[in-house]
Amino acid sequence: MWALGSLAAWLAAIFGHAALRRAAPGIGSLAGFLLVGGVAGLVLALLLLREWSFAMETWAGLSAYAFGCELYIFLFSSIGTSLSAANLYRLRRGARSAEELEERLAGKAMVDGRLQRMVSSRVLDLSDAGYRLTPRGATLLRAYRAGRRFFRERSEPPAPLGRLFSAEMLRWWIVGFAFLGVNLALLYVFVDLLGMPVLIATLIAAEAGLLVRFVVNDRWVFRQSQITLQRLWQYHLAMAGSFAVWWITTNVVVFFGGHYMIATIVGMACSILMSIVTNFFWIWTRSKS
Amino acid sequence: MVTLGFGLYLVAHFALYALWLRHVAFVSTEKGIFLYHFVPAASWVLVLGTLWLTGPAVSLAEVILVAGLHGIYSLTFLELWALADGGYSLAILERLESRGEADEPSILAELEGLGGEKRAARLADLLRMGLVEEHDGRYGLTPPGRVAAAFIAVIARLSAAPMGR
Repeated sequence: MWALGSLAAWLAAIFGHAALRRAAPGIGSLAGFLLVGGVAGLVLALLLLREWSFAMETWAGLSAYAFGCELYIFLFSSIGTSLSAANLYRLRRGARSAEELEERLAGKAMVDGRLQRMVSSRVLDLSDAGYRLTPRGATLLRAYRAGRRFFRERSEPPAPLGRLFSAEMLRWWIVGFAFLGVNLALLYVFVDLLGMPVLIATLIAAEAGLLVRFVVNDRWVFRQSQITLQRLWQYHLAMAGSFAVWWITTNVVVFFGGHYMIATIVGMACSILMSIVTNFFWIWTRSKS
Repeated sequence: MVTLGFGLYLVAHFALYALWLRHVAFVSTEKGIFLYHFVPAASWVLVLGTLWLTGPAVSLAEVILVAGLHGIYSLTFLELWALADGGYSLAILERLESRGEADEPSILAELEGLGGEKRAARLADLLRMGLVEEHDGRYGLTPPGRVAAAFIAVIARLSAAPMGR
């Protein structure tokens, strides 16, 4: 019932917004939706609180409604400004040449549209001398730049740390997570399907998993063209070292009074660090790619 | 328990991006950033949905809550990511900031070239995605393109969005 209420409120917000845009075209698209969506959301919240108080169902209904509203705002605001959406929209009425497509989307029309919108949202001032940035526009520009620094500017870490921020590191983690599942599957095959004793099965599964993981690391993660025996024994040594680090760290933390679960997490972190160091700076010192 | 685990996961997901993945070339592409959000979101819904269907360990409310919160987080993240690309509006603001004041013809003269590049790139994107096809210099919609165009038309009609700018 709460899920249906959430859906009904979302549909009411969409159709209420459509009606408001036609009844009062002067109101902005976003402002209009925030108004109608806010009212619908408030009604939904009151109904859910009355029925479910602060139970999980109330939060679930509200989060689904909020996500639906954000998605709709994203859709209508992006199709209004997107060149791709404008092209698809125009092509509904039949095929066109590139010149015809550009006719309404020409530079002047685009700049005109943006300038008008920025003036109406008080980001720009228009006077006899021309357009000028308002304080609100300057704030917006600073926010844009902060966003660009965070999302778009990739810093170049110094070598050899550069390898820690590389695609091969990402591939290395993917393989690490994938092999959690592979090792479980191998153990299942040896114990349940082949009927081996657990003591033997764990040893064989560990070695089989290690060999396959070495091949995947060598060929896919570090893009080597030729598997070598030297790297294979280095990898065995590195894995044994990582196990030793995990075992020692875990027991040391327990010895000093730490909970064994916390201890094993600390041990895993140290063991992963050890694997990164040995894999990236000892076994595969230089990636082929 | 599920919501606590999910909260910790969201913090870790963002921290992983902020501290490391934003420096990885693949993740800074559109495809990479989309997959970074879509794959874990789909995995959460799939795993929790399966647990809800197979036993009492997880409730429908928890599945919907996690899906809704992940949707809000990912959509906000992707919107900010796309916004940081800047585009036309940012180019106008940056030019005005450096010059103090400018009339429309001078802004137009500087930005028309950028507009031309963007238009060509967007049309190429639509061709690459298989939404548009070209025959003898004329562009038309493919069947998936017609579905996308119809969807855009519905949203535009509902929201009275101004199309084409």
